[in-house]
Amino acid sequence: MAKDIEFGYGCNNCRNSRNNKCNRHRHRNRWRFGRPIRIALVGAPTSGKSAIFSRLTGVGVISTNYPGTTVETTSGNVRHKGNEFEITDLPGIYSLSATSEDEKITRDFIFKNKPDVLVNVVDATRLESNLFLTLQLLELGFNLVIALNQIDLASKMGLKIDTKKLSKELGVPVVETVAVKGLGLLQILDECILVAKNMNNSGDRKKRYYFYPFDDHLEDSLKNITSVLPEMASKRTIGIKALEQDEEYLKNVLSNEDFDKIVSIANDEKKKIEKAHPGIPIKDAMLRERHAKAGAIAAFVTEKSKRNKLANIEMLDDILTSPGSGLVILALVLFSMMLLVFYIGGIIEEYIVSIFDALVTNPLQDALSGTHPLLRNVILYSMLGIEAGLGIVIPYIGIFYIFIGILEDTGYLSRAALLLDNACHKFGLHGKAIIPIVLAFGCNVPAILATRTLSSKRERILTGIVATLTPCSARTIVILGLVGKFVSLAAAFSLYAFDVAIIVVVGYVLGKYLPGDKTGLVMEIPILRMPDFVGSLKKSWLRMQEFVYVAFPLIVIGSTILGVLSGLELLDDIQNIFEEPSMLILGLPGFAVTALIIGIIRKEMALEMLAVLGGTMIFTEILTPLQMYVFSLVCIIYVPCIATIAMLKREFGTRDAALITTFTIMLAILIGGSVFRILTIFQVF
Amino acid sequence: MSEKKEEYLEAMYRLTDGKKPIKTTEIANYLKVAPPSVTEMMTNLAKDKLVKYVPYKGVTLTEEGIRQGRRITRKHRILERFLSDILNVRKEDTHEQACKMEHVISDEVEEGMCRILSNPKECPHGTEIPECPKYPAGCKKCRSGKNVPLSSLKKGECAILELILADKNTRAKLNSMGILPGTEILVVRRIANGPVCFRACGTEIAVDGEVAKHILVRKKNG
Repeated sequence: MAKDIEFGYGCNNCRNSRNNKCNRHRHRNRWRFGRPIRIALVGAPTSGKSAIFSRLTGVGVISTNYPGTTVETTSGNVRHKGNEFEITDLPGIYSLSATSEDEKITRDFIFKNKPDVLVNVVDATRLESNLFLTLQLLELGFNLVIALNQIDLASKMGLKIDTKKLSKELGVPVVETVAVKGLGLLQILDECILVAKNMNNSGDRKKRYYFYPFDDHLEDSLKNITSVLPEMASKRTIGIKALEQDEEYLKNVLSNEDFDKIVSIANDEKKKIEKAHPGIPIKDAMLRERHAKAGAIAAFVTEKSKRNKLANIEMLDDILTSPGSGLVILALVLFSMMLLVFYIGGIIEEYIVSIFDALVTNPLQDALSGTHPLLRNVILYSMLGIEAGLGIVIPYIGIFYIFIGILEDTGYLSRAALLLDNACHKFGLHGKAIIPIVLAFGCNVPAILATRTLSSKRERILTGIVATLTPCSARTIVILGLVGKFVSLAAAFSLYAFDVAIIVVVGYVLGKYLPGDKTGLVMEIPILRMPDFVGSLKKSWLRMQEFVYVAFPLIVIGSTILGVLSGLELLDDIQNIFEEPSMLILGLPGFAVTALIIGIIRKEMALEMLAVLGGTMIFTEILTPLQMYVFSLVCIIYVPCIATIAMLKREFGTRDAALITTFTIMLAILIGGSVFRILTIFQVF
Repeated sequence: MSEKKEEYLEAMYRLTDGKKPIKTTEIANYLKVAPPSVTEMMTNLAKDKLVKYVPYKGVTLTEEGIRQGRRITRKHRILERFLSDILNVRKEDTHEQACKMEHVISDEVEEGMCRILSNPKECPHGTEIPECPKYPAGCKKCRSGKNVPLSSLKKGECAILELILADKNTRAKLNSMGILPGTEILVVRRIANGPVCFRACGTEIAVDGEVAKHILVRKKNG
């Protein structure tokens, strides 16, 4: 450990005094650590790490009631009793073996960054399965503080957990918490301070290694392996890792010489053990022992009473997941959600736009009437961009996120995933892929991020492509604002249906031919619970903020560029280039194509730009119904917006992002062109 | 080990099942090679401690030799099954193909084929396939017929998990959740031909229909 870190007593308030008898603040003096205490939250998925994290740090992270919401590490700082804490939220894991992307992230973080204290969040309702990870962490010699979360729900289920017994059994502090209500969270920090203090007192991190014995064969082998190691703190850990043949870990902690020695001994020992336990690979034997131990500890500290207040919920669960009633409910939920979003969103949007017009756009227009056209255009166009952004983000996306937040909290989405699993198999996906796709209806960007919970690259890309074709709220606005308003609602719905058909066909074809492994679905089903409405509001605010940070600068930049172009009267030239090919292929005038190109920045801007370039908001004056229909159709399919492309690049790499983008452009031209021809022949409009 | 050595070990395993000694001329006849080359190979194998000379009686396989012989024979017979059942290769041609392929396929490939064939007992010619060396206990379990796939269980049925035959990643995931052979499970929900939800280790876990077919369980009463 670095030498420059100061430990010791000091006054928390003036921070100057070295001794703890600062006269001015004597009553407040406490021990404090010389630097921020680094804490990481680890635990099984849906145990409530993110809820604890955002409650403690005030840094917003999204927590839900389905596994795998956190896919990145987030850090935040907090001060408590004079100590600084740097807390990191990690993706949930079941064990320290790294099989999926998010598991690797967590594993790498705790091995490489070596936090001072690991707060192991254990779900009290699933004590047995969660303790498995705890035992593994103890083996590795981390400083642990256990946060026994959802203790209220556990007692409702009739589970009484003796915290003191558990703490004694594991040899680490255990704190009862209810993260969503904020109970017990400061006690976690108190315990972390104590642990850090111990760490300091005992000099060079000489920790009390708690371990539980394996069976005799394994113990003997461990002894043999560790006997050759030089004296060091984590001998047992290395022995265990050697038996598990975790070479990645061993290479990090051992010198080359030791590494070779250990590996060869471990191999011999392995053969010996496998002879003693025929037919059971050593890894499995160790796993089994840990699970047995976890089960025994859980049974030892838990008192079960027969009163289970959640029995009614089980019945509800049956209704939600039975194929008949479940699907009807699912369809109703999704349909009414969409309807409500657009009904309420529409009302709010009108207000926002009219207020913005009255307060900003109109006065600005008057004020700028005499200035240079370049300046005037730049300012007016960026204002229009901001107006479009406000009109979309707050009403539609905000409300969509509120609903999604509620759905997530209840745990309903996992049930939906179950229900649709069979249907998803037809596309070579499994039910889990439903969650990103539902998110995509709001915005494609978080949807692509959410594909990380899927286990294979193939599924991730496939779901990513389907998500980019899903009509997000911005595209829905184009459909409704253009076709719904000026052609007919039926036509707008037919566009929606058309898009769904495209998704189904594309998904099916790609599902057949995309190479890669298909893996099975293994998913934990969280308990259904009442949503936390305040939490959902906060969460949707958080997601909106993310959206605003990504989207607003792009909107303003795009509008400004457009302002410059039109100020310099270059727009006409650009349009002239597109006029001919676009009339030929899609039957669209040049300015519509320009609007589509601008729409790459944000899809709903295609509509705004159509108004600006056409010179009117009444689109019937500038476009035929057929043109509007084709315009919207192309707008849905062609190129994901810039933010989505950026996300695709980050998640799947440049090559795949470019491939997906090109694919969607081709698809849009192909479908737009054929629809234009077919509808002309049949003279639908 | 070279292909040739493997071929010899396989032949010896087949001729004797590894128990009694065999004469080198028998091996020469079986493999259709000249006796001196058999003698030469036996000296080599003896150096590797795979065979032992028994004076006046011939040679016998050592424990390790039996293991190797059984391993290759198993691969050979599984390959034959795979070729005839899945690829529709003519039964007469399977032997020759399998003879060449048995030396190159990895244990993982063999395991995968065994899974697809749902653990065959015999090769197409009617001889027994040796048990899987990795899970001899498991092999008996899959063949015994007492065990049924998880997908066949109804709601409310209780069972003990016997064997997970699913692919490596799925197995690892299930293992890390505490789902191991010996774990008690209770089916709480299921969707026809689709996912199965079960309670185990104090939590509820869902697996899809495909995975459920590859989890073998033993039904428990009550």
